[in-house]
Amino acid sequence: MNPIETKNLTRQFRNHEAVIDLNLTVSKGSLCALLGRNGAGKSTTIKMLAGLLEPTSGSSRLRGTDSQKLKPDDWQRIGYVSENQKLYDWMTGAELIAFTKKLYPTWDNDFEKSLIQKFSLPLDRRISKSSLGERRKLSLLLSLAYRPELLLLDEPFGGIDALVKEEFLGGLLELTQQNEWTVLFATNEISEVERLADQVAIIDTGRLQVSESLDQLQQRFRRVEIAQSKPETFAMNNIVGLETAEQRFAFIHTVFTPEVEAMLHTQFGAANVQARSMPFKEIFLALARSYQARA
Amino acid sequence: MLPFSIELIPSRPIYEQIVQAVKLAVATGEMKDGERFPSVRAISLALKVNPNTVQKAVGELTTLGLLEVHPGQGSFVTAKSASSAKAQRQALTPFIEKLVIEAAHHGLDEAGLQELLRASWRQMKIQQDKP
Repeated sequence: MNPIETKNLTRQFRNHEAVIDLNLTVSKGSLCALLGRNGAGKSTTIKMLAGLLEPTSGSSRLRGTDSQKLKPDDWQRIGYVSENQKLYDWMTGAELIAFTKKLYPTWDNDFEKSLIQKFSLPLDRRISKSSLGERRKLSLLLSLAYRPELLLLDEPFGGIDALVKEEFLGGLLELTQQNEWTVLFATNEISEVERLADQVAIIDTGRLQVSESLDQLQQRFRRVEIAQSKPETFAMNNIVGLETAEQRFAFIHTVFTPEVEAMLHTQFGAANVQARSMPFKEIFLALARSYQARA
Repeated sequence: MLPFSIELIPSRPIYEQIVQAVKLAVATGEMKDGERFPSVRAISLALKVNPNTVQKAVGELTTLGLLEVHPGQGSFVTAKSASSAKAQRQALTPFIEKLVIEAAHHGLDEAGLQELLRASWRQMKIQQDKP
């Protein structure tokens, strides 16, 4: 049983298909990044996973239970932080923590204290008077401190400063290593993905385009530069982003293998061919551009 | 604190940067032969990087012969002795060919390239008398 499984998950809004036939599996202990441009269907997917939105067809299961049938008992082991988490505005941070703590038998007091310190969270201020970043930190704390086994995060890095982001990344990594937590996080901050994620799911116009380990993606993507003019007849499968200049041309190969390399060496001479592996951000941008070109 | 210096930059894959940082630390003597290498977990938490990425770098360093895994004890640094002249030529020729092409492309002559090489060598403080 995987902590997250969706089967042909689909959601239609009036005449707009937000999510179409999505089949996503996230295995235990994985840190999976859910990516896509604005409006691609990330938040709709997460809301359906959390049971806050009904699918038009298809289904999703969290820890084996249908998302639409999650009970309070299930929520003891699942955490969810939405983009604009609602908090009780009239409470102070300390009051909200004390209130939430009672709902969770698994609440970890030591962990709560270390998070308060790491996030340097002001406790005596009313939430209505807190900044966006402080509210975000508070909702992250509330979702981490009871040590759920599965965490769904929608844009967890929005509005928090670099230092808190570092602490939060560290906290997530530590917990996934200690307790085999599973985390799915939707984000637009691509630069954090390579550090945090081991699995990447990319949605475009409601459809799942990529669901793969980060390692595998980095194995198969290469930026190839050739120190020769592009021959008129040059054609190759699985390339995107062809750029040409005088005496050189470059492209991104999406299924690079030793065979492809050997072929390029024969055609252009080994010294003229440079194939380098790519940071995830470049891979994502190349894919996003190819989706845009197709549309 | 890690026994090798590293500052992650966004323009290269993270596992490659870790491999490169350890190679440099061994070449400069910052890490010594026989020294214990930190665990995957420790590196992951220090750099705040997914442990699978660190594991990939450690695997590559082991394949390259810079680390040796002693089961139950962890990994240890093995500073390589100099390779044979033939192996050195085989390993370095592709890089040097590319370097020469780039140098020529930018209008640098042979003496100019040698000057740049000498400067880099000194700047990185590579030890010449490795065991």
